[in-house]
Amino acid sequence: MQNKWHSLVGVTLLVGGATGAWAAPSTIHIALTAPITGDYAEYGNNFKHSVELAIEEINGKGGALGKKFELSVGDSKGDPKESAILAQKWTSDSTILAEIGDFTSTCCMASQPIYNRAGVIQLSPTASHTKFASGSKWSFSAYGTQYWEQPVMASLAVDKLKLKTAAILYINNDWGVDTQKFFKENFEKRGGKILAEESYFSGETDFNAVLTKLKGAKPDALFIATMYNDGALISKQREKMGWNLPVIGSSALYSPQLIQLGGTAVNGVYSNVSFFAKDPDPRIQSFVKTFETRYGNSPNFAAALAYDCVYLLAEAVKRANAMDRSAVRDALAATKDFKGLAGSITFTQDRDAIKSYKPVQVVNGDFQLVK
Amino acid sequence: MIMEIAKLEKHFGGLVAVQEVDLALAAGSIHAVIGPNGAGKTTFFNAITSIIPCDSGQITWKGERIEKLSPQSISAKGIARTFQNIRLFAFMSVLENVIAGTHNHFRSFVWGALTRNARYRREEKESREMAMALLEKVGLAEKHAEYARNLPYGEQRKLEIARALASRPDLLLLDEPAAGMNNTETEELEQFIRALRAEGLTVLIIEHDVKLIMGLADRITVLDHGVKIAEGTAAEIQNNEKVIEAYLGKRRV
Amino acid sequence: MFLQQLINGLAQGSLFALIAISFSLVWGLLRMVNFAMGEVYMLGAYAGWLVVMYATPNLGVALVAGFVIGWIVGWFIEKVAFKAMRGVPHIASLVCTIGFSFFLKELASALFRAETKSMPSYYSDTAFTFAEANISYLQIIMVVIAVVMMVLLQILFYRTKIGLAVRAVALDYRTASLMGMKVDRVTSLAFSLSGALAGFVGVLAATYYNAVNASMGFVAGLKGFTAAVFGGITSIPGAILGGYLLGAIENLSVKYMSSGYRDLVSYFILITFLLFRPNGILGKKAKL
Repeated sequence: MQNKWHSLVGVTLLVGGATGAWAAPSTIHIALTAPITGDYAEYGNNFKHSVELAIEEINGKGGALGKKFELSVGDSKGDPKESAILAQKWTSDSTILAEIGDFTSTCCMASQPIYNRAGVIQLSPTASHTKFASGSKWSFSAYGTQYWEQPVMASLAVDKLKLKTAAILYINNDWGVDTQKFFKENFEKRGGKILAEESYFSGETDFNAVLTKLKGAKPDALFIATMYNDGALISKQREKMGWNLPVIGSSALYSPQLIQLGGTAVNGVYSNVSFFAKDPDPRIQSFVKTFETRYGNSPNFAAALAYDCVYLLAEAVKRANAMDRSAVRDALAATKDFKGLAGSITFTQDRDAIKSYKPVQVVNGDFQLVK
Repeated sequence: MIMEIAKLEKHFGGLVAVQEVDLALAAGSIHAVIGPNGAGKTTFFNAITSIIPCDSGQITWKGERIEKLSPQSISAKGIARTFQNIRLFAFMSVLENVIAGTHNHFRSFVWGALTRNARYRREEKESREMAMALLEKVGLAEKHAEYARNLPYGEQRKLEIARALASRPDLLLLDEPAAGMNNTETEELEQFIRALRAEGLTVLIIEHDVKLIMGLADRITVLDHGVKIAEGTAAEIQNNEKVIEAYLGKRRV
Repeated sequence: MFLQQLINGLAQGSLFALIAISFSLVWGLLRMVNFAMGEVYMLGAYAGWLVVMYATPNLGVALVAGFVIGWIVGWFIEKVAFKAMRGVPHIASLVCTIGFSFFLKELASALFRAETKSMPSYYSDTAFTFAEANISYLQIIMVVIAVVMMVLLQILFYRTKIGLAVRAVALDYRTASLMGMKVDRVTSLAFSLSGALAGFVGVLAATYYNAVNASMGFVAGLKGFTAAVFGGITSIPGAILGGYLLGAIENLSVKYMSSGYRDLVSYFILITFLLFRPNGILGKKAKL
């Protein structure tokens, strides 16, 4: 498989070199890489649905530069290998202007070198690893990194909730390690103390052992650097152990699924948002309504971010006033104060988004902004 | 005739193991098949019991053709056997080995085991009693709880015969039952086989021990290189030129 | 906290032990590994989840549903991967079960969508507290169910004719067929039983962890296999021993090392035993 793709890439490069130019296509062809199936399928489908929605809206208004958007979708299954294979596929297709995806930082970073070599924009809605966007001039993250997010959570814990000690449970991947690191840094900077840290691998279902160990350290609070599905499981098993304490997580917990899966066990859990579905902003409300009627579930933060990514690209194309990959990249990198559903976006030198985050808490089975 | 075999053939690739062998087995007789090593005796047995399907030929058992049946069907028809290289269930007790042999005679299986109904319990009791009786008969009753693999060689042979008898067969195929037995044991075996015939059982026996066969068999068939070269009573065989040449003759060399 | 980890380990060990028995049954009969066992467990979990969500909130019914689905899937796998492949090299059957494992996993993601389903809690209250360790009713129930299942299987195999037939076929199927035993039927029966057991454990695990998802079978299957190899895959007592030991070792390794090493410890045991003592702790002597 790998070899086949390599030779495909080779052939494409040869052909590209021979014609010497990138023929102006009739559409703006973008690719979406998302975990449509697998453990992160809920996020992947949120990606897909909102990207389709955004493209439909833009095309309905005439597209960009008089050209309509065209979408190709690939399923990475949340597997870095699959993600890299898809990257080979997209970069070998000369009609593709840019790629949106993947969901996890790990997948994004696995395929990053391929986009970098080929010179194709890799715009991830959700990659929040600090080393992702800075790793290649073609990589962008619309999410903002944990570097910007965790000070908010650490400040909530220390300044607002007056918690002095914490234990950390994190998923052992690029994102989890990053999240754990920045929470710890910021928590300790504010005078807090981390008493214990434990990690687990993707796919784990039995958290009794690690929770028992963390409980033994007797912390004031538990910080969980996990996605919503693990977050719900951990909360349920923690509740069964009779271990009650404030639980703080990252924005990845912000999903209606957390409450559906976790039930009463997730009451009181803290998370944060850059996109809040109950925001009265009419633009957000119209998006939420369309999304819900069409797909039968509420959009989560991943949906809002993926939606924003399509608009980010559309604006960049307009500003570049060209369909050239590198011109669009330069325009995208110059994005300032873009008004998205998930807050405004300005890219840093390293192509990370600077965003603002609002803490939320689950209260009686519903997310509410922390006042 | 309880069994008639006509033109039975079995090839292994180019090698002819059994070639157009005919054999008629009288009910209640002891019939022996002898021949030098590699004569095809065991293959002949395997073909009869369908362990190895024959290539051509017919086997008629009580007027019914059986050469295409599966081993378990043949067993259900009342044909049981022992093996040259003993094939007991090594990690089962002596008693369990014999109970395994009674399998054919009991009907309740899954349903019975689940509900443990009256018939199931009765059958289980019957098979246990029958197995113990057979062990008594071959002199292994005291060792009924031991693993089969822990018995000495001669007793393993006896156990295999007991297991074969547990299916209450009409025909018993014995593949070299005296191999590895000492003189006393061989004599006991001879008496035992006679006693079986007295109960009405038909016995087909392969044996190397010519002395045992000559004293025991009503009729003898001699195979050489897969071909039947002679058949008759002990006296006839002993005086048959072909047999002396092919089999006994070789011994003198 | 040592005691609490030990208790967690025993509860988890019950699950490992039961899956390990499923592996032992198939190994004993066919000298084969059914690598789709974890997926049968996963389908059982879904069956149990469907029952409590849409039919009746009765855990007993859910367990029966898992058992029945596991039986059916186990039966089917035997027909396709083993019976139809008799006579071709063993490796073909092995690969076929791996294929089944992926197929069933994808089938479940397609049918139920890939997101994790939440299984309601049952009997999760603390039954008693002993030296700071909490023991829930469910943990007690799990150990009891595991022990009862093991006793029932021992009775089935050593006190009934059907068990005798299974053991006879496992030891020497040709000779068994000469005793009039229907080898195909016995094999099919034991295979279905191993599937049923896996499906049953799936429901138990779903209840314990409150989660059902399409990929839950992979790790569970691997751990069950590890437990079987660890204790001795040729025998049911070996599988049980392996299951409980693995559960205890895993949970204590979290206590004394780090949770990151937990799976590492298990797979280290698997590889070590496969290399140096493939017959497990109990060794070759113990037979089904």
